[in-house]
Amino acid sequence: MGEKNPRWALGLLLAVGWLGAHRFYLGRYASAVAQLGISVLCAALWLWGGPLARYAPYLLGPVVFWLLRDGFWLFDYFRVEEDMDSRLSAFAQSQLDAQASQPAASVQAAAAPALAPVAQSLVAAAPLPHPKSDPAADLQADKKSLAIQMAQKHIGDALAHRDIQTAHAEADTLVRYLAQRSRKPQNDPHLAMAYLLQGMTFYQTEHLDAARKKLQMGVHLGVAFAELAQPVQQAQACLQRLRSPKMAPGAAATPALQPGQYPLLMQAQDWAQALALCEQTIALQAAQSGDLTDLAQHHLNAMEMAQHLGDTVRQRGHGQALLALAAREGAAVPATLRRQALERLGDGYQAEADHQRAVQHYAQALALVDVRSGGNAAAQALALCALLQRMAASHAALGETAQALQCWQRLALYVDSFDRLDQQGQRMPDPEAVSGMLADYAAFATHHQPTQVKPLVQQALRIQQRSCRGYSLAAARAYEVFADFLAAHGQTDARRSYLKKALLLVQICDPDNSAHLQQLKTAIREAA
Amino acid sequence: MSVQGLFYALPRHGLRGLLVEPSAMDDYLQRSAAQGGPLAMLDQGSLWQQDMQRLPEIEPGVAVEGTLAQQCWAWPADLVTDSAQRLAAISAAQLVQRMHAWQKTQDGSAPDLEALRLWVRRQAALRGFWQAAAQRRDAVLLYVV
Repeated sequence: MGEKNPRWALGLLLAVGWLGAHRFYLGRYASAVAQLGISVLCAALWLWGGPLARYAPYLLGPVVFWLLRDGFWLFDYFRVEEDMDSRLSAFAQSQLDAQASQPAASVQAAAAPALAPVAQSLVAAAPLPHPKSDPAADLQADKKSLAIQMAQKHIGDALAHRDIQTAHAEADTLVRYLAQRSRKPQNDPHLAMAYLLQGMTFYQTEHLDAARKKLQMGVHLGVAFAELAQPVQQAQACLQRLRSPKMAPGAAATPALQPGQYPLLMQAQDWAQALALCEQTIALQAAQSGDLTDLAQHHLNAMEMAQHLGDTVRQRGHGQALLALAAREGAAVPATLRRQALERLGDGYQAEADHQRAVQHYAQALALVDVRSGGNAAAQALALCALLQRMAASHAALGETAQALQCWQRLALYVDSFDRLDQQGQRMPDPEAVSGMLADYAAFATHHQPTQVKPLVQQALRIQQRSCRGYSLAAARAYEVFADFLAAHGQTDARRSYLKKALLLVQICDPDNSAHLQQLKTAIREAA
Repeated sequence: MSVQGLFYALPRHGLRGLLVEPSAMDDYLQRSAAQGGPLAMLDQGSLWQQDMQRLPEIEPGVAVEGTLAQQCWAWPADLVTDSAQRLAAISAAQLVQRMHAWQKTQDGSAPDLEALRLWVRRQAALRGFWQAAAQRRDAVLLYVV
């Protein structure tokens, strides 16, 4: 398609637009013929339609509407063209400058996109349909190839700087530009290449739904072109992975790590494969001295996967590695990640009944929670309460009642502030967790602070009543705790009635937990 | 105004949502099973109350307020299973006996054959519905409009 003059196009639209002339000029033959057909039909009905002439005005409306819309369309069309022209000129000039200032051997390397390591395998490996050695000379002859080259470079740069928005915008601009220059998309390898590039960009930035759509489009258009065999094959492999997150055996051993791959496996709860891939990612990033925050996040994910696999050694290994990363001089590992690692380590020790170590880790994690810092103060306070709850449990297990009580009382202060927020109509963070904490405190208070049990249970139930009309497992737990408290004071009849309430709530909220249901039914029978 | 008792079977995990948000109940009951609505329905007509009185095997459910129904009760899946087991244990003789006893408390006379036949048919339908729901581990809803 030759270069089009916007003035000519606008002139044709204004003068003989009703005949579709501007569309013929821009090579949109099918729509131009349709426009011409409607106009001719309208005129024919008007002049020679006889009794049918009264229908002619009904056709006039669509023609006028279409022409008005074409006015906007032409504006947009030439804006994209001009924008791309200026960018391509600048790009071609920069290529010429680079060629002049660097030895011939390094020109190719400079032209190749400086991609993020993981992006390299996908985007950089995808060849251009018609690579040009001298972009400035071929600018007019093959602008499409140059546009693809430019987009590859810019997307690569953006991904290297983790600027996802720019990468997406570059890919989108390329597709729009090529789509409007392609009269027959199925005959245009450049457009197919643009879709593949966009799909791969989405894939690398973990926008998997969008990636699937664009890659499918790219494969559909590109499969007919021999020069696109390699990128189409890569796209098909990506699509295969997107369709079946649980990869074929042996795939995990391939060193070509794909970002987004192990989180996909985590979603599919394929913990063993996901952990293997995650550890490969960690090794790769550690070797390349990548971003520490990213690396810490991978370690944290690995801890979660190891926990699911029951592999405490690996879980601890990753936890310690994360803490070692954070301890490095000048390391900027966010406190949230460190806190979560410490929490998980503490949980591991607590599960093994090593409460001394659990308390140590929880205390360290507690020191990292700053409720007054920016961000979501309520969420921070809730995290702090969760830590206090676990710490209290460990202290209680160690027989350190005073310390446990201190933790519970501190927790109760925060919960009171949540409750006040809730009463004022503001949203309480995770009411079920808050009520659960109160129920646990009440369970502890049964033996150590009996006067506190009833108010704590009432508070837990009140919170649940407000958040979900009392239909929750936290409410069931509160009833159970109160039933136990009554049993301790010899009120068996009242105990039975509260156990029945708890049973009904468990039947509603957790109908598949047959062990819990059975346990409650047995308790009710025994109380009778 | 005629009163109608409608029994619905619904997925056990969906009951909590309806109890928390009872205003969504009416819309939910309008939908078909394919659209995510109730899985089965049994219309017991205006005699639903008599059926429930004569079948104490069905434990009292959770009263639901906030719907457009005159009255609404829900039974979680576990209660449905328990009640279905008890319903299955009732013999035909017990049913006839109950009908006689109930009729006596009403007007002191013995029930006629047609009334007995109707009662047996109705309780069989209710028992079948309850047992099918128990087999699927569904929750049950009684919606009185």
